[in-house]
Amino acid sequence: MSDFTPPPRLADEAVSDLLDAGIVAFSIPAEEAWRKEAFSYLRTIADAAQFVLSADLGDEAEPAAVFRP
Amino acid sequence: MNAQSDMATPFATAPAAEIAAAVRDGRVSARAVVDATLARIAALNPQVNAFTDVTAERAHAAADRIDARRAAGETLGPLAGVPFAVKNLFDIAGLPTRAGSKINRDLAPAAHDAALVTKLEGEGAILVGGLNMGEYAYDFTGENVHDGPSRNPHDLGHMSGGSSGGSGAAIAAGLVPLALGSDTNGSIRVPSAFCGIFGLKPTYGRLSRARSFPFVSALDHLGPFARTVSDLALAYDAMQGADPADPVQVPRPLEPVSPVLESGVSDLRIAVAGGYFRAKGMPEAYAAVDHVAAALGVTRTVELPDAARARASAYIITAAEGASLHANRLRARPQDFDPAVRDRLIAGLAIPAAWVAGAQRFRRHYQTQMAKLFEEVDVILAPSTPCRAPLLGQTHFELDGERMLVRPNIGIYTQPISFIGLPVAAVPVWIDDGLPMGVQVIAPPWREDIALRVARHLEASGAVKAPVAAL
Repeated sequence: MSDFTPPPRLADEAVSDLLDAGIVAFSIPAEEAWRKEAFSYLRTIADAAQFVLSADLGDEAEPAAVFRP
Repeated sequence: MNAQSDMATPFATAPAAEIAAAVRDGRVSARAVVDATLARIAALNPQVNAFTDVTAERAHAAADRIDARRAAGETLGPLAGVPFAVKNLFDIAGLPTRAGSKINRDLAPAAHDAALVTKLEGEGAILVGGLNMGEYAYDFTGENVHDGPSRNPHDLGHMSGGSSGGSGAAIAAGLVPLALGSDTNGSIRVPSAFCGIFGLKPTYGRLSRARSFPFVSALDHLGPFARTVSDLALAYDAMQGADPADPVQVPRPLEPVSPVLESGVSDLRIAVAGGYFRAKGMPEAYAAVDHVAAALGVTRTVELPDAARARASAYIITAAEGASLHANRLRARPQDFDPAVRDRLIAGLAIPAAWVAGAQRFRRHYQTQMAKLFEEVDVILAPSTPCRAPLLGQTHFELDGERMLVRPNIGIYTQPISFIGLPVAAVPVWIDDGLPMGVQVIAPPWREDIALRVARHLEASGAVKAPVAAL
């Protein structure tokens, strides 16, 4: 726990690379105008992820919440 | 209208409970109620654009069956003759389940009704149609590029809220007393707030989602809208029950809330959500909560731990799961999407898996923290939205001095709650002569009864109400 290091903010270039990889991986025929909009959304998502992952949950956190019946 | 329809006219905007009582007593026929409802839809829907499909023939046939059963002396259900409509992501046998999209109109007609439609009809309710919604439910506005926006009946130039905008508009316009919608990040609570009506987002896993078009399985809920709390409870009670066809539904015993609605709130520990929920809002958002708190005599404030991170996590999971669901359609028919939906989904395809897993891990952590908070309080009050209904087409607003996009930020107060599936009764608050606001009455898991008791207490005291819009 003590050696936890929060992730740094992703640079725009890295977000752009990530977006391109996703478009290629799913064979999306994305036009440039769409890509520009998608980039702005992925930028926001990347910042949200950095924020979420900056919480040190240790090694025992189970994924997802399931209520007991 | 003929004489029988004239007799039914007062029931066209009546609460569901009143209609059902009148049909059971023989004061009005189900057929006459349906005729009056269809006439009102025909007259007013061109203004509010709530309905995308009207199932008149089916409704008449159902009404005639109910009237025949009554004539035969059979006992009718608690929703006998009550017209209702559903967001068009619910399967309606014989119609393609469009889910607000252009693409889905090419699907084969649904072979069967959605599970909750069947449940309501089993208690005597009568389906009269499908309702407008934001494309694939990825929406807080109620706007739709294919069908046009559903409009706020209290001011037609404003948003109805989304994504269940048609459901909110249909109830507020008095077109039906009961409607169903879905809520992934706020899509029941936001239209309830903007349209000034009651809504119930039950606990995640409470009601069957079988035969409804999904958005984000990890977060999807279905629930009712109405103009009275009693009607919400009637519908909710009718829709409970185990259904193996929904893999995430929890097979709990029936827990009807109608019998306990009038139990009052004296035994409940109620608090206002502070911190995150007192920032990034217009003054009227806080005024609405303060109005409800004052009506309940509440002075306590609690902090929801890490609500901002909860919202961020919901944002990530939504984008990733939504993108996964629509990947094939994005590849095959990208031009046929609403651009605002398509471009967000494309972004979602690029999310690393570890971000989603991290958000899911945080989800469990947050749920545990909230469970501890619910050891101290029974109910938490929070705004439903940061503002009143924006203008149709409005893209930005200013919150706490910061210029922000409207579409993704309407749900800042709803997302941290649905993220862990807590039950919420959304109550409508009219703090002045302007458009309404909404307040979330949030309860612990599986305690819809508590949330609805508080809502009913507020309604009975006159602190909250859902009037039919003057159209």
